[in-house]
Amino acid sequence: MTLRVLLQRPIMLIASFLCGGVCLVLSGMLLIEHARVVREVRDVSLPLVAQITTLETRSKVLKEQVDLSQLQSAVSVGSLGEKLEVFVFPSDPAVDRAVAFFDLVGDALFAHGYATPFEDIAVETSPVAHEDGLAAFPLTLKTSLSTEGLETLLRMVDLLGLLTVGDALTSDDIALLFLGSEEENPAGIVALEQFLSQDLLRYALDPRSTEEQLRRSFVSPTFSSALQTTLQSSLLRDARRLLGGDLGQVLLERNIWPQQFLTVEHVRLTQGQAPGWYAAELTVFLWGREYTE
Amino acid sequence: MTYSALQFPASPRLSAVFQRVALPFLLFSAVLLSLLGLSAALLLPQLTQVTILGEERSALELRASLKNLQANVVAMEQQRAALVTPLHDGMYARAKARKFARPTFLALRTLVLDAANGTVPDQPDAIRLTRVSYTADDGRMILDGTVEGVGARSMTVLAQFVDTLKRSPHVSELSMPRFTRESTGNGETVSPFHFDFLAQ
Repeated sequence: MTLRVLLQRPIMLIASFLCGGVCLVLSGMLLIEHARVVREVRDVSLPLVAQITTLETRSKVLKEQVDLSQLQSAVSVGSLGEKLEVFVFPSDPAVDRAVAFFDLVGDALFAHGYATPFEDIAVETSPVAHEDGLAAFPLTLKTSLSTEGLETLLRMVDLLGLLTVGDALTSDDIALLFLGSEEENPAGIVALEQFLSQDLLRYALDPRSTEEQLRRSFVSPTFSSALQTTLQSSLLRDARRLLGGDLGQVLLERNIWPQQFLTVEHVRLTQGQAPGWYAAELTVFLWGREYTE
Repeated sequence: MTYSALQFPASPRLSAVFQRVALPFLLFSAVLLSLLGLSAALLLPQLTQVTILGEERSALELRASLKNLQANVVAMEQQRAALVTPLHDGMYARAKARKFARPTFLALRTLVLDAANGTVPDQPDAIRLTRVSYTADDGRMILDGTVEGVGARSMTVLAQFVDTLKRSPHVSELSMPRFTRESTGNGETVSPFHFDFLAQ
């Protein structure tokens, strides 16, 4: 029996039309799928190629930097963690170190004619505030000072509790340096790490040699420009200006750096007799780890 | 034979038409489906291949690749930051962030002095601050002082000074001072003030 004869049967006729219809519908779906794929490749996927190429390259660079950093990290983390625990967030307020520091700063301000010697420094030994596992002990000092003295004192307090150059930079500053290192010399991450983990006081005392060490690994104008921007960030500039001279040297010699973490809580300025001079009362919080039994 | 039978042969029955069309229709549909199926299975993947850094990839998977790569890069950035700046997170970083997020007394004092000096540009000491007090915890700054040396305009100058501060984006909840005018012993008119605001 031939196909044509078979198709003369009504049931076969209907079945063949149904099969043909199903095939046609499936073909239509496949055609739509073809069109969708072509459109997606053209509109969506191809523009991603440039992004993926950049990210692939960046991923390789980052992998190299992570591997290099891993070799360097173990020693510095240990020593920084120890300093943080002993000096920055001690379990008891380091009153002697804080008073010694303010005494020295007071003398330095007096020597420059910016303030009278600090008359009164009072520290409370019971915490008055608690936050994030830390307890705050208030320290209040009273003095007469000029506008320059006030600026110097408050900018100095901002630096207290910072350990390294990296601590004085914002995350944006650090991201800028990371990006520069990726673009110019991924292996320079080691020099960058050494720069960022440099003790802030030692950097302030000799910024040139620290910066030169970093510049030897990165010579491009782009990185130089990023570094220059970073070096002009306010805290690092203040560190060089305020700790870079005799005061920094004395702090180093007497071993009263790093200092406990401080925040300015209250400032009261009353106009003094001489123009541009004020009677100042400053309350700062010394932050230490909360004692847990 | 009628006229109509001569001119117009009898039209084929509809079932005969279907019988004639069925097989070609079935064959056409089947062949079309097979070709499109083959194209989807073999040709389309070939045509949508792209070469990225010497590696062949399906363009259709690029979006997923990009997502994976982005996650990978972020993870490695965090790993690098943790290694190079080990104290970048944790308690120390949070304490630093809290410390530097607060408005500083020096910045606020500059804001107030600029507003005072800008109110009477030709007489920068017309607004004299006798006491400035700042509490960082709630960001409240209290100002005491006098407007002097501007004659009868002292209350107007004080209002301008307060208005300048109020319009600053760093100032909120400014409490209005009392506007008073007093005469000093030497006949000068002054306006003492006391008000506070919250720093933002």
